[in-house]
Amino acid sequence: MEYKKTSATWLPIIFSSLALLAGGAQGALIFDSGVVGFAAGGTQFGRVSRDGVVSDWSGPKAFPGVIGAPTARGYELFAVDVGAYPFIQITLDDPAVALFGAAYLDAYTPVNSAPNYGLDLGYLGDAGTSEPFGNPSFFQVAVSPNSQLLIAITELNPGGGSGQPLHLLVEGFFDTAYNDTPEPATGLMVLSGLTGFARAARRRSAPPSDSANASSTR
Amino acid sequence: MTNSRARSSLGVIGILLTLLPLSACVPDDISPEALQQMRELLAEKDARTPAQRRLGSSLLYAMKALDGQPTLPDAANGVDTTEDGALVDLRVTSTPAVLTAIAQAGGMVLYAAPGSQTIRARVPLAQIEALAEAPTVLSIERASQARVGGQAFTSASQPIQGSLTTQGLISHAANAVQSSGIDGSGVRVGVLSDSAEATSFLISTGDLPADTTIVQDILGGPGSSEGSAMMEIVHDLAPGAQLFFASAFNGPDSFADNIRTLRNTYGCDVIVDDTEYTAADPPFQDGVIAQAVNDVTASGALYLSAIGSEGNATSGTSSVWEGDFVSAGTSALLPGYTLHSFGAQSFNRLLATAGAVELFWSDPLGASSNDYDLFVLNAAGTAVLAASTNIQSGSQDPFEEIFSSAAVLPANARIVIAAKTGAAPRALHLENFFGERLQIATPGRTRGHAAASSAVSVAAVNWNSARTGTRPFVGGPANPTEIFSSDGPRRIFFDAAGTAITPGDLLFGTNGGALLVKPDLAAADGVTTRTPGFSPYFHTGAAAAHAAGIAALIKSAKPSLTPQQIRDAMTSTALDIRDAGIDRDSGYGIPMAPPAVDAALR
Repeated sequence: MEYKKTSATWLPIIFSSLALLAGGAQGALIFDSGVVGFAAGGTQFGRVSRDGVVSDWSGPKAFPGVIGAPTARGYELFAVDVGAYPFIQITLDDPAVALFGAAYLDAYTPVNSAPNYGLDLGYLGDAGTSEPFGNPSFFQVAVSPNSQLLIAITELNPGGGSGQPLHLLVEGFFDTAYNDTPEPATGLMVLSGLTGFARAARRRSAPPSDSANASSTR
Repeated sequence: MTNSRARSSLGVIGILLTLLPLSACVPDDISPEALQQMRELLAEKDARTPAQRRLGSSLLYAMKALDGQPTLPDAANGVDTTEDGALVDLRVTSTPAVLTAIAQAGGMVLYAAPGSQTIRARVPLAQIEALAEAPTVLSIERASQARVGGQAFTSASQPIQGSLTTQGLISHAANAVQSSGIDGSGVRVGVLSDSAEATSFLISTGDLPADTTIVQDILGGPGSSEGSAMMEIVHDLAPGAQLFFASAFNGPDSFADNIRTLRNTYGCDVIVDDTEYTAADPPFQDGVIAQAVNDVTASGALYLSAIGSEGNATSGTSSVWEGDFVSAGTSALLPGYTLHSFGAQSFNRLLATAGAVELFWSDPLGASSNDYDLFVLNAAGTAVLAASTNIQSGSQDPFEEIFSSAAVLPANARIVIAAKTGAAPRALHLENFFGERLQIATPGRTRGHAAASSAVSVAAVNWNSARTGTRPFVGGPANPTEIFSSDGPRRIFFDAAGTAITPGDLLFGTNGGALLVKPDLAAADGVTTRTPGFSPYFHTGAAAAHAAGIAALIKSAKPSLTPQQIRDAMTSTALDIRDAGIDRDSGYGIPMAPPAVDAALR
């Protein structure tokens, strides 16, 4: 398993009258894949259905079901430690409209077993659609500080994702107004998280156990 | 057209050219069968009784279908008919007398604007012709259709865990202004859209303030609640502002009255809408809605409107063709009429299944004496699928509309424009109302009150168009307008009273009229809201709401500012995008809250 680690950006903002000329608070970019080619690191069966429902911070999204199972598709995993941020926004730019992303908590365990083929386990959310009007798709999930997200990027069609460009961004916020500085109440909640920087990693191949799960049930 | 047929046709044209003047050559790309059908439809038009001449052709075709008479394939032609009757707009000389006549006909008045001479009503289809015989009735038309631009995606909103916020708060750096203590306090913002049924839910989640006021919601809904989503955005950018909502969907006169009510009764400083009507939003002259916009602007309100989400020429998504009428020649099969030439052919094409095709031309409202007609033919040009054959004889609007009841004007169908002999060449505006692409297209889709000179019209830019996440807009090529955002500019030929701006010059080709910069600005869309169905919230209604929120911040920072000063603060500091300088896709560019407020405070 190969990890590429990055440190989170932490930009304290000083509010004053001069803030009128500044950008003000925004989120922390805790992971930026850059534009890379999709490289499958594992195999799953079917994929999460695009149901047109975007997950947001108002509450958990119901798992939308699996489509195309049991046909095998490649997936690529990105592991991201969210650090102190409870509100996470994930953006996927997939200009070829060949891919689809979903977020999971702690583990991603596809198996060849109906009805959900393991894709519902640890499921947090997805964008429900691909590249709306040519724009990056995005979705939001709320997690506990210091959680590890696994973002599974899956081929829409079997074999159709190889080498296709993707750009994944993961941003963290302290509240739903996209602040990167905690409100007083929020600060208590995330105090422990402030002791360290958020970290992120890109996993270019699936962990052996995931691969075993995926392949052992074929 | 096949090559062999093209060669054959060229031969025929060559022979005819030796026999006829150039202006009388026969169009060869419409089949004799279709020309014969058009001839029959136009013969029926020319034989209409005085009462029938006051009716829109869509109503006449629907009445014929009701009587079992032969008519067009889509005879209902978009007429909204329920057991209470057909939804119609009447133009009258005396409102009280017609209200009585409607009741006697078994109809139901839905809206009669105070002091206006228009009525929206439902009237049994079989009684409409008799109603048109009343001397106080000038015209009865299929009710003008309204649309909003919001894209219906579905949010996952379920449990209440606190409010959601538009990414546009950051895109426009409005959070920086809020941090300085300027939050819209003291400013009243009015929002007009289809409906706001989600408002009470959004108050319960904290996404809207408890004092949000619904002045009037949609009648006979439900709507989509896009007004609630727009208010959410305004509230996110200007949380101190007080919000008011009124529906724009209860007819054009109701829309106009609600604009004035938001200003005159509720004191709104900033008013924003996202609604476009068909006939009531003409391109070449301010209609009833634009005149209300002019009124409230003159009385001190800043008015913003979504430019529309029907495509643009830059992105190759245009749904409009604008140009001057050019004769394609006459045919013995269509006596008394001349077809319009779109250049190499006498028809345009739908590039997708469409719901409504509309034609406007540069005559004054209520005073058109140049009679144009509109046809949709099948893809082969061998059969008429739908027609609009209103009569323009001096007292009608310059407008024809084919509104498919089943939204099934098929892809590749041909659009043909015919002018009655004697009709003067005019500037034409042909569009697909719902934004489907045309084969031969131009810029200039925006029209109506959104294109009024007094309105600030707003195009859309995706909040993450730079693909850098939740960051302020930077301008330039990183932040293009959306592929669906409607474009300008807008040329108008008449003032609100119907007086020609350039008398005797009513054509594009001779630079008649006046050219308006439209849109004025571009703002964020594709954002998160809590309103069910509007997450993400795409289209220019979302963009207009962001611009309204910035305007509220400016007004809050300096309450003495006039609408023009607020507008200047936004345009003079906007980030330039698309073509350098002012352009037809984004106007002055993207308003950013900090420099706009800073400019206002200087």
